[in-house]
Amino acid sequence: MLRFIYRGVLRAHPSWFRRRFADEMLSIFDQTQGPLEAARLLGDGVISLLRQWTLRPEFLREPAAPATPNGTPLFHTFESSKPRTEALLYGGLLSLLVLNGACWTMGYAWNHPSFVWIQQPVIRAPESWRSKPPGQGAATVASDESLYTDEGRVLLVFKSHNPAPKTKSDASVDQALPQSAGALSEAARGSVPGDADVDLQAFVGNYVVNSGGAQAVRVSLEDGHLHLEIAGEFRSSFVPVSQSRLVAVGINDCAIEFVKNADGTVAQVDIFRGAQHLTAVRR
Amino acid sequence: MKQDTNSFLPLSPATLHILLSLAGEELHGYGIMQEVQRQSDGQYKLGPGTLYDNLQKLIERRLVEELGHRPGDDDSRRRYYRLSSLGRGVLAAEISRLDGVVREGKLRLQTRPRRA
Repeated sequence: MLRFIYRGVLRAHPSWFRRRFADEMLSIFDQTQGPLEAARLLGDGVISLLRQWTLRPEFLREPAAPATPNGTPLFHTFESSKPRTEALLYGGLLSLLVLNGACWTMGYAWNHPSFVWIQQPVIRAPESWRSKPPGQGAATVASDESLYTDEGRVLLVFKSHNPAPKTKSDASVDQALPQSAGALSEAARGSVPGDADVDLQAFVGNYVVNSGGAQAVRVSLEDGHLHLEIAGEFRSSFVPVSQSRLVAVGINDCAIEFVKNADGTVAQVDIFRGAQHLTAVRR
Repeated sequence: MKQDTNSFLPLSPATLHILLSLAGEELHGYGIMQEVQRQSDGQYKLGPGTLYDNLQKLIERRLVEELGHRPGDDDSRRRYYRLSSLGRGVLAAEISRLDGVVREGKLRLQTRPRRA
């Protein structure tokens, strides 16, 4: 029994001391005769345990390999070495704290966007739609809605399979488009009027922006796609999203809308580029 | 580089007895304990904890060298130790210091005036 306790006391010594001397100390204990002598060694072991942990901090870690007399360091392998128990405990505790802190930070940031800005899509319908009574305009449009995303932005495109005279609700949709038209992706093109569904040839021609000096605008049809070019400033291809409105491919917040006369001929084009709005009259 | 032996002085009783026991021959831990007991006529009993704590420091200071296990020994767990040349010099310096203390002590005790 005393031997078992003595072994426990030896195992509680600092690892460096234990590895080096524990076997020898146990060997001495095994040679003792009588319980009194064994108890004396047990007391000596307990005092040694306290002494090693409290008064010998320099021996808590294995000392560096000594150098030879000529200054060349001696090396040894670490095959039998392993991390200290307290180091493993501290490491595990630290890992838990860091992981917990990271999870809490992510959760807090998601619920408090001002803490860390996270882009979250916000979809708002125009007020005019909400005020419409059911069965009129908005309801008809909403039943035929499509959702498209591109570059983290959201665009709702509403269209009708039955061409009808432009109503107030259609106008509201068209007004909403310039703010988000640029988000339309190539994937969206199959769900909106295709190039073949719209008479793009009718838009081809030369226009001029009269405000701030005469600026030439050229609309052309190349390989079946409509192109608009503001002389020396801007050029892009456009895809139709309605009979009169087209959005730029690959450019955010850019759309054009053609305005026709009563006889069906195109009179002008409105160009929306972000907050900028230009009107070009056909020559 | 030669170290100044006087920087190790004075030695503690345990250190002195351990160095003294190793001055004659190479010994293992249990042998050192028995030799210390013999030197002091059983008055000073060194426990294993005290012994190896001191041995650890003496090895670190290069006063004692560890020889490792010896084949054919009764107990394979035993390791042997011996006095290094530095340890021998330190022991000699300590004995010389103690010799001076003893001489001075005897002198003082002999010349102590007796009270009437």
